Amino acid sequence: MKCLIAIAMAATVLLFPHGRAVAFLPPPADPGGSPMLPASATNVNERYTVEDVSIRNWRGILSRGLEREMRRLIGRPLRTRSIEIIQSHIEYEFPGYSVARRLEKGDRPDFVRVYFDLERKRRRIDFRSPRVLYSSAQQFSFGVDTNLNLPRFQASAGYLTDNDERVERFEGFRGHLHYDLPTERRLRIGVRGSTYAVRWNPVLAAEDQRYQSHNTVEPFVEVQVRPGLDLQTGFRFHQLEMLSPAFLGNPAAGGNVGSRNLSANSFFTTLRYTKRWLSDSPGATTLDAGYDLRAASSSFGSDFGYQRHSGSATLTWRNADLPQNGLMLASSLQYGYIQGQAPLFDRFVAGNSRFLRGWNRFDFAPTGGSRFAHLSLDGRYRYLRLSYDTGTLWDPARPKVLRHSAGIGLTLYGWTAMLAFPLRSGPIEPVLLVGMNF
Amino acid sequence: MSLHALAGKSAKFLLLPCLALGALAAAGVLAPAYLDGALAPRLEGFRFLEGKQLERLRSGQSVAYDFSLQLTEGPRLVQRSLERFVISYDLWEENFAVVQLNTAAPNPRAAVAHLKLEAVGEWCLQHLRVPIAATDRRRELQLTLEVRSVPGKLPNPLRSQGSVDLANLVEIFSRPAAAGEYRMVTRSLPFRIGATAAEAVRP
Repeated sequence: MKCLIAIAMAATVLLFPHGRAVAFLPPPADPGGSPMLPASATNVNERYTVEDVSIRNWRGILSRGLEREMRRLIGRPLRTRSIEIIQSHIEYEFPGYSVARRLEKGDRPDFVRVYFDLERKRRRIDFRSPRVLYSSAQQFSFGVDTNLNLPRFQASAGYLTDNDERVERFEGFRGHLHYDLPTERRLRIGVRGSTYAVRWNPVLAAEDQRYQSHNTVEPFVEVQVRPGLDLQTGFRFHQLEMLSPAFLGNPAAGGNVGSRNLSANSFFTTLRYTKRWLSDSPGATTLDAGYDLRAASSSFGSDFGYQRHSGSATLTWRNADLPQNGLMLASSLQYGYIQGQAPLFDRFVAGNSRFLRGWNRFDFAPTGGSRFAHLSLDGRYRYLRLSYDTGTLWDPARPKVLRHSAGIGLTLYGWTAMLAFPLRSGPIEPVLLVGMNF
Repeated sequence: MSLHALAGKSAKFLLLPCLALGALAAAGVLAPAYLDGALAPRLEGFRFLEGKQLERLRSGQSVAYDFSLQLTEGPRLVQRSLERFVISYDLWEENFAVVQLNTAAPNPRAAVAHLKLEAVGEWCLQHLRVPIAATDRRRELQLTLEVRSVPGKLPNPLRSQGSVDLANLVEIFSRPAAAGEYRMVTRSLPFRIGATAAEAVRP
């Protein structure tokens, strides 16, 4: 008797870890022998048991969470809602794909197999505009790319004019090629390149550091360390054509003294981590964190010697599909630190469309800074968007001043129009931002 | 004009509408049927499962269809009935099951299984009614049946397991059909309720 009680207790402990013990039981059967349909079911196949769940057209690895969820369905009665949840999780995990689900008869009677079919959303050749922005403080920034999407191989070429990301306006052409090696884990090799002409705002004082063009070539390797964690590393060969002869480095060593053409060659490595916590509803919480290191040194033939560290973490929560009835909250933290003398394009910038929105960068840091810390809170309810930024940008020779700003805007079909204000005593001049992806 | 010529012209005049009516009868014409103080639609050989929706059904998914049955007097709407039916295909038995969702309660209003493809439409029509208690029986009326598939990407009506929001149904029928969405509209010939009711009680 004691033995039976012990077995019953053990079974209870083992079968009720998540309150789902009932799912381990076979589906109820009608007197005729075939499984019965739950009273509330709207799909007649819910009376059958899941034999297998798999993703077709995908040979790579899946996140552990998704695999666990898929395995959990096997041996249980089919439930449309559970299948829908897994489908939405796959859509999150494969953002470039459309996901279709399909049920087929299993090998055993009254069992069904669940298949998810992935299909690439992107066309073989497409045009994208990753950057469209109008800022009343910094005018237009605009970019367009043409992409060639082949299995495992992607190439793109595009044009960009930008007065938002760096201290200068840069405009010109860029492109990249990459190839995914047929390995189990993602291993990508590629090369990026760009050639930009530069225009300077007259308020910028650092005349000796100005350049009129810069060209870049970046060979890189990207590897998926584990699901959600990607490492990219490579070299960046950067050629600057200075407006006036520059005096950098050690004059005794010669070479770059008074030279108009300088190199800023560096080694770079980027680590990105993304994790999503999904719930039964369409909502999700997403963590996106990254760390970036650029190290330029004379050993790479660089005229500049510096190390640039930057990191960011963004936590986003949303409760449902936007914009129908959705609420989205995002909090992001960024920091940056430069050791040594970096060229102007690598300095940190705030008072643009991403950091300290509402401030005009030419009012407080026209040449950017070598130290940077920033916190941003973003909220969106249906079409309404609110933001709050606080941060500071400084140099060792310049004091830290904590600045704040707030914004209110409307978002529709991916476009946002926002009026952002610096929060300060004295006159407040709002900045109008209109565009996508900010 | 000779009698022979006149007869030939009359024959042509009568033949065309007769041919048209014959063609309509072969395809099935919507007709009203008086049933327990309400009007029910009758449509011979009514079949609406086809195309992408049928593909989705055969891949084991359920597909919802919204039915709107309207009683109109000229342009004026007299009565309207909105119903949602969720259809699924039994992979093992290779036949169809239909659930009629309830607008008032979470439990389905009616359900059936083991239907052949041809019988699904008829079963749905049998579960449609327009109340006519307060309708003038002498007026000339028209019955309109509209069927639309519910796109898979809409907020899922099945999440609440069996119930459906009536306001949602009204919104669906007030917008144009999206690409890939099934839509069918058919109208009855004008009729009077008095005559239809008299036909129903005739032995």
